[in-house]
Amino acid sequence: MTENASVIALAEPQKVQISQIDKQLNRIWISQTDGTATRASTFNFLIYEREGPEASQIPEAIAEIAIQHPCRAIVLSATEQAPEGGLEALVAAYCPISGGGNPESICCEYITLRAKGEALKDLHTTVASLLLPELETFLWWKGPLTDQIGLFTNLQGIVDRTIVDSALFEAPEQGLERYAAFALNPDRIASFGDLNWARLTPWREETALAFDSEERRACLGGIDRVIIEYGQEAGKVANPSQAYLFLGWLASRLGWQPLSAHTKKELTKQIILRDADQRPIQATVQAVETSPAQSGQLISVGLRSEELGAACSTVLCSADSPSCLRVQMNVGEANISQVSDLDTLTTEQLLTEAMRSLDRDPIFEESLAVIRDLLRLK
Amino acid sequence: MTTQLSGLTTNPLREGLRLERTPKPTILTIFGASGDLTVRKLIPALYDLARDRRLPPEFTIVGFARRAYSHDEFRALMKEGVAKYSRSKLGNLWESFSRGIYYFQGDLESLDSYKELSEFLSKLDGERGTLGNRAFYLATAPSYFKPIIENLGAADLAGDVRTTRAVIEKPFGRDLETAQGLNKVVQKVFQEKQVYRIDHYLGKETVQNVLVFRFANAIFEPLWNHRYIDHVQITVSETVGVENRAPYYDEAGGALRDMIQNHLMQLLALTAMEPPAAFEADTVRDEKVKVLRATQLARQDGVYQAVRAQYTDGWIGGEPVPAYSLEPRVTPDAKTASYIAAKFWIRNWRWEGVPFYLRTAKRLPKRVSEISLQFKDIPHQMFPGTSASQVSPNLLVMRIQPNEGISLRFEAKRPVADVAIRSVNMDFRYGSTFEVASPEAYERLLLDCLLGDQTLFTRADEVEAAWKIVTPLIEQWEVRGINDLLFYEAGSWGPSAASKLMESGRQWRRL
Repeated sequence: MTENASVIALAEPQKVQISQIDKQLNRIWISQTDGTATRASTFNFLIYEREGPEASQIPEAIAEIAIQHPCRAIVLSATEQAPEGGLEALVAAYCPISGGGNPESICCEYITLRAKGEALKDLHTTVASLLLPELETFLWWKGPLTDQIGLFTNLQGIVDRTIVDSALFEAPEQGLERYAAFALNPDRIASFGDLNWARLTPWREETALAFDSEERRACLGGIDRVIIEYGQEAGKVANPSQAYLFLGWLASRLGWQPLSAHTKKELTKQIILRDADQRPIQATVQAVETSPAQSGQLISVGLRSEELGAACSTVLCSADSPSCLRVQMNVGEANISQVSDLDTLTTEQLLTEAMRSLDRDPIFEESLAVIRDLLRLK
Repeated sequence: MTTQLSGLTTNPLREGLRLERTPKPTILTIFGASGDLTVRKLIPALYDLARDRRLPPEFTIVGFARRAYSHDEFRALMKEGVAKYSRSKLGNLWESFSRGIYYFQGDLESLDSYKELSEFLSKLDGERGTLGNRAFYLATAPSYFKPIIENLGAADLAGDVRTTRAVIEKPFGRDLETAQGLNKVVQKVFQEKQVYRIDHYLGKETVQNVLVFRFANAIFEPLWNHRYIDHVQITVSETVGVENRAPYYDEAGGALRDMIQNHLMQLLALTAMEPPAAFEADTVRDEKVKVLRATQLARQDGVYQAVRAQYTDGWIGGEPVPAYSLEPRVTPDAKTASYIAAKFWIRNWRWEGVPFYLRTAKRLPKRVSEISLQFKDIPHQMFPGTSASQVSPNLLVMRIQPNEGISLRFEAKRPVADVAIRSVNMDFRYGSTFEVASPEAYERLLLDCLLGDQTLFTRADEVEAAWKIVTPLIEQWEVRGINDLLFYEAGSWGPSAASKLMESGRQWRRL
């Protein structure tokens, strides 16, 4: 029986015909005659992934979610191993293991649909037939937005919330533009989330904290220089998504609009924004070489005002270690610095957070709108 | 150059974040900084708040006490406290957090010390950017409250509502008269809007949840009155003895002042109050004052319905424990009551005829705090048979600690052929429903105070109303010297005489 640290399988995954999925699940539940496992679902949870070595992590991620909310999980697996011109289904049921080491009595259903080519693109119709009625449907798009965009588009018609992770985008700028087109579409019904946005929360909180006091709040209106550094693993494609999300957030909160953007040198982008008073703000987004663990993550943020009489500067950086954040604030003569701990949330924790609500996040959407406008400046 | 952002009254970067505002940069001066409360509760709570990014980086702490410490010695002591008692334990933050901790050696009763403190705080304002914002925390023995407050006034440190707050620990007075006297002293120096009288029970999430449970659900409030509720029991039981608090506990006269007048009365008020119009400081406190003013001790044949007792030696958790009289630092022959049980009436439209039974004690078998509401029996028994006739009344229990949560007991048919009825529980548990760890009570209260929110603090008239309720017992036991002190074995549920407070088949809950 398949087991890992946080789930126990009630039955090994079994290949079945699509039409037999529900029957097979019923068989699994009926076989639990001792009554210790209860079938329950509070939502449908769709997970898209490219099948690879990490595919085996899925049950654990689901278990993290299922500990709090039992669900029917349907994995849409893009794989060349799928049968030609068709698709393959596997069904199983898992019970999450509680902190005490015992299996929970409320257990999850787990369906895997493996497909490729046209069958993958049209998978939404099969998925729709497998959704439990009257329950909310979440989609976790665990991959880039450059491939399978047809499936992504088709799934929008049946899901209530789509969660991506822009840290996984292989062509980040293109991916962000595509994502923004979906998430900001005026006709959208579903809401959208991004795990990379959730990772920014401590940075946003720390930046906000730096400008809470009346005296330093006055500096916000004088900021004219922003430098954002993000990590890049040597030899890998740089992913500035998180840096853009931070800039988008800052700009949207402070009423800045992007005016021009150009690549200064490789991996350094120079952006000019202007505020409501047409005052220019120069922003630089640049990659710095880091360890793989910090790749794509914010490394430092510098906010400065170089106007005469408004000598304010704030620097946030995680250079000391990935688990802490140093904040340095100067206002006139006063100089305050603080080192805070950064909680590194796992993907499962970020996902749980992103699934807490179906509501749109207007702050996220406004940030994304700035990024969209920025990326349109060619 | 001016911009549209130059006149901001709020921080636009805060929008959408967990906490919509943080306190102003402030210096918190703790009087009694060498005491247990500072090391075990206050500094760890402040550290946890800073760790959660709820305090501004300029936030500064000044410990005021008589002992000779350097800043670094004091910081080292506080570091031990944080390492041992904070939720988040020591981390990278400690270095910058500790740079904002200072020590000031002074005499609580000397005006000169306060004048020097004033100069020291002004100097820190310049260094730390705290802009003259002050909070003074009185974590001393109650006998120092008066001189501290008077000296703060005399040293011109009282400030105004905008800049300065005073936090006063319990007990606030020894009886109605001393509470009124202390209120006069406080109000001579501070405005009521500057005063934060702490009852840390109100900082507990589960206590606040009593209000949410009552007023955010439509199904319970129609039943919350004398038509449906038979009686209410409020229990705060501890397994610990008097520990190292004997001098204070003896001076206070035991559980009546230490627990009933404050913690249990607050629980009673939250359980019995009318719905406030809004969750705002004065609207909530107005309703609490109203219900406390309607509360009185039950009386029978001229005798107040209360039992007091002191523990003798016994066993707790498989360990022998000494009698109260043999605990360290206990006053010889002290008549201090470590157990109080009493019956109260609330004389208003909602609660007429519903007894409220309150009990609290040390050295009971279990540590439990709960409020239980027992509903009235069904009016007519329609199910035949012996087992069916043993229908238990419905019971709603709000557990404050441990296993925080709410349970509802109701009757259900057992799956057998005959009509056999059994009580079952429907349980909600904080621990399993919400994965986020609840903040400590002091975190919530310190943050509220720094933000200027008085909702969870006790107002002057509220303290006086609570004292007024227990004054007859103080008179009976202390002024008239009636010696009715009973004894109970440590590890038992208290003296059997307490069950005589119950009538009409009611019983104390076995917890």
